[in-house]
Amino acid sequence: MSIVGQSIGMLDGHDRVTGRIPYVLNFEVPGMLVGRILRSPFAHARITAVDGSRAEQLPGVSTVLTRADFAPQTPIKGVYGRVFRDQRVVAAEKVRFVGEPVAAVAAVGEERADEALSLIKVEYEELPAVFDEEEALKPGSPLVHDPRPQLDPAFSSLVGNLSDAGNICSHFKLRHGDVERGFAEADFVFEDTFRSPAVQHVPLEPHVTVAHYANGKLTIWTSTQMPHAIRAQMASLFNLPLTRVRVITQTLGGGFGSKGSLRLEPITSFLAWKANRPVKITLQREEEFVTVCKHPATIHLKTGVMKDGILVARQVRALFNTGAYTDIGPIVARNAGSAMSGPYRTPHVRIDSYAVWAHVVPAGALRGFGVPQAVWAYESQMDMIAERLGLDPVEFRRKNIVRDGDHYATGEKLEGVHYEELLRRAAASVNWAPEEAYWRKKSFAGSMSASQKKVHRGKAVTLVIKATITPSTSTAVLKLNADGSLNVLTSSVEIGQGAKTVLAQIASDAAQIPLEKVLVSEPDTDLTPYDQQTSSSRTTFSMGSAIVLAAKDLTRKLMDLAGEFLEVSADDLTLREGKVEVRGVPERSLGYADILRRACRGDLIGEGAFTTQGGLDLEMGQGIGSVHWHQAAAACEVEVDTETGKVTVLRFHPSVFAGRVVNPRLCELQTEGSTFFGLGQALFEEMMYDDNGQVVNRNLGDYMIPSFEDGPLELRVTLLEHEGAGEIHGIGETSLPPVMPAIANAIYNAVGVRIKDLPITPEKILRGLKEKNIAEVQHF
Amino acid sequence: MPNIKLLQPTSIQEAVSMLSEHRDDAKIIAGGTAMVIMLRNRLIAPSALLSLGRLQNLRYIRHEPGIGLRIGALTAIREAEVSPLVREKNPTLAQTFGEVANVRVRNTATVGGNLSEADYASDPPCVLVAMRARVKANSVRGEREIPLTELFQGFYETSLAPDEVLTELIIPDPSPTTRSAYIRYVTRSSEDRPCVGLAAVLDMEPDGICKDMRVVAGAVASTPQEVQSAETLARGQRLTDKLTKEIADAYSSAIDPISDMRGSDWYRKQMIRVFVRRAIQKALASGRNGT
Repeated sequence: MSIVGQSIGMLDGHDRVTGRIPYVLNFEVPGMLVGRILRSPFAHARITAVDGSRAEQLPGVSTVLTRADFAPQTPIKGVYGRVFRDQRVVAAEKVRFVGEPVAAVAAVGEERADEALSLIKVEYEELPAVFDEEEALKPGSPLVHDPRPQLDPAFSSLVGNLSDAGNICSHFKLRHGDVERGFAEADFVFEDTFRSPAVQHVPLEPHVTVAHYANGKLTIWTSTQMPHAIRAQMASLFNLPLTRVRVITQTLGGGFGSKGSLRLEPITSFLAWKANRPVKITLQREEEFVTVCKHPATIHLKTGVMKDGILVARQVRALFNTGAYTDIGPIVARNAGSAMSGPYRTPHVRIDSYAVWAHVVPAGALRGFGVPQAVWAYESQMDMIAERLGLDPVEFRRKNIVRDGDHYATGEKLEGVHYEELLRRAAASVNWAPEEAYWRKKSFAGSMSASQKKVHRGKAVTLVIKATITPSTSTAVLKLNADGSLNVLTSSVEIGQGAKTVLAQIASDAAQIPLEKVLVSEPDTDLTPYDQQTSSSRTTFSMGSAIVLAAKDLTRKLMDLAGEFLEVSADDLTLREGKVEVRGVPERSLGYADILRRACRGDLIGEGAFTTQGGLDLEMGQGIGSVHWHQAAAACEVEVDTETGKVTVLRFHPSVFAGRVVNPRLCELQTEGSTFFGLGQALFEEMMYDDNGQVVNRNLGDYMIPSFEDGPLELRVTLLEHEGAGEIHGIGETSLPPVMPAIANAIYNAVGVRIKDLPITPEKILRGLKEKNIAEVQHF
Repeated sequence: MPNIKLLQPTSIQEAVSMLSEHRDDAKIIAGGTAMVIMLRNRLIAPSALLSLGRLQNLRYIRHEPGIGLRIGALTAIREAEVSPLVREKNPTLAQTFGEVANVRVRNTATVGGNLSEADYASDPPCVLVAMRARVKANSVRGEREIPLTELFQGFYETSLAPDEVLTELIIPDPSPTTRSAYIRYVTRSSEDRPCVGLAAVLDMEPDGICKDMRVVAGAVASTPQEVQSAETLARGQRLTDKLTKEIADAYSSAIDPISDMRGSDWYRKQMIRVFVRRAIQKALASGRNGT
């Protein structure tokens, strides 16, 4: 029986609950020093002096790293960044956000290191700063980067020609049809603006890196989602060939996108290099909040629609606040921008999606990669339009959803589209009826204030379409051992999603080796082959496909060898129950271990590389946006206390198209995780800044994440599977984006208050109710 | 935390003499759940920490007829929450202790530490003020009692002298006709601290006349807020919906609330009105002492 499709428990589950996972957080090297970082207290300032000499003289302090170590005359520049080379290991002329690293020390212990930090003297000359993405684009706004930083040529097609663009970091354009004609034809045109704040990933395990530079080789143990990308960028920073940089990753205690770029690796490595000893840096929780966050976004939608509810045109101006340093902001802006027409047929689409620099914490990937901000806007607006047209929001969606054979706004032809089914299931899961829409509720014939009820319920259904990063590449090596056991060598990172389990299931099936004989490796760039990244819901699909290819390669080699020993052509052989067998003659077979022994082989290697093709052009946003599109729906019912504005989520039902499901239980758990993630962002998560650009709630007493108590009273996941053995669809983040608008729309259907700025706090709802009551009183 | 001297007295006498010696330089640490955060964030930089860890004789829950519940300062909040004695004598108080933070914190944080910290957004203070509890404090000058109504002086400020240590919490027994309730209202995660905490202690005649009312709002200002002019409205009256609403309105207009990330001053004013009413109604609906 196939192990793929079975809800086996996580293979490392026992280790997890008994505290036996060797996280990098717990990793130590003999002679290791502790590194700590001195950070900028200013959002924007010129550094006039840095003096680390007193800190260096403190006993127990090995090294102080300052801008002097990267002076122009030194061979090491200390400048990095995947799109723009705008980041420095430690700040040089300027600081650009509160919390930017200015210097670092390595000392014998944390206390000594902290003491040393207090002895470093930095003088600043404060400069005017800008924090908001809209403010940053106004003429005369302080420039974050002047002149523009150097662009990595590999990304020139991503950013566009923006020589005189102020704080615009990148500009993604999508042009499909003729949007002006569409608006002219439309019966109605609606314009609305939606905002999402910065939120933090809050992985339980903070960012942590151990680095050791010895014998001309840099070894880094780091909690990262991208070991190979880290190796490449570190090699470039140190002017070393790839062979001289080794990146080792263990199971991560969470990442959610936060560990997808260079973070602590440069500063830790340079400390280790200068100290000539291993150094470990572990971020404290409050440092996490000034290291990376979700892009704050302001998204303006203009949507043209016919009287009968057929969408004709969509124009979008989206501003993604990428903070002081670019990181992957332009990729987020593009990824979100390419799907801003949502899962709906829209003949005329014009999208301008910008990454914008501002003097705030650099933003990066966060579960959904810009799509949650986009879906927050368009799925909120879908319900608003349905009301203005007097339509049932579910029926309005059904009329417009994309279907097989449609051409998406990116020009690509869509296949394997399942929105009809997803929408039907989602609506059924909450017993949706057209009367659930606020404007159709009979009980609201009069004003809210006329009603004596204090608690009101509302339901909603929302959809999402989401790309998975395309093109992309995963490589796997399967090493069959003399005893018939199998090492799966992969650079996919176990991040809590269950990669080790599902990849073992896939390898076990593909190579016909029992699961207990399969072991999935930890990433180690010296030993495990290339994988682009563990992100974008791609590991099960992409690495799983690479493993299937590697298993084919391995079993072909086994059959070639077995053919010689069994004296038949390899074409006459078949694989059955872990043996190579002559077709139709079960008694003539050889086990894998027998084949290796007879071939005098200690092991046998199969390799597989899986690459997807595609990409979008810069000027028109046309091409292949995604190798296949991830699809999901969310349905929920909420209760709103009209005296307080407090929301209780009664039930939540995500429905996800999952292609072929490898492990149903793990799929459900991932989707439940996305729901909790979305609940927090919907109702209370927000990084708050003071007037000086400092994050004020940078600890878990002041920044709230959901606890189990905050979950829906009922949470049931629907996994929609392909008929038969289809391709795998990633589901790691697919069901997150529709959570926030589902809750907002359900709140609206409960009490008639529309919130367009996340999070939807009780106070915003109460203010809305008060304003609405005043408006109703005036109206009647 | 470099160069902090750790003092570990084994008796109250030793503790107060050490405190007297160190005066302003020493901070008392018990469970440490609040103190360690303050130290780590460098909000305080004492030269010495005086640990009460060895004073295990301050860890008790007793009941004495005519006096009430006596809870030693070193008792973990969780112990007070689950104590059969507290649950029997004062269920509302047991419930309140159970609302503090989360179970990990409650297992470590102490009853005395919670009161000495005087965190404006903590649950027990307003309930204990409403119950007219008092604490004992010791110093080299001897022992004194401080009513809870006088303990809290401001944000993280109490009337304890720097060389004084809180040793015991005394909660008088409610009369047989007392009904009480505490409502903790959070605006964010369920593990957040309250936006508003409302305690109501009512002494009700069997015929439904209110003999006495004490309503205290927590987490809305630097200290627990009680509006005596509003409480007076209830005395000798039946607590009709109309009167309850009047009292709630009076609380809302009398209190000048703070703004923080759990709610603005405007929002808190609305919530005081809502939860004064709800707390009174909950107390009325409850059995004796909140059962």
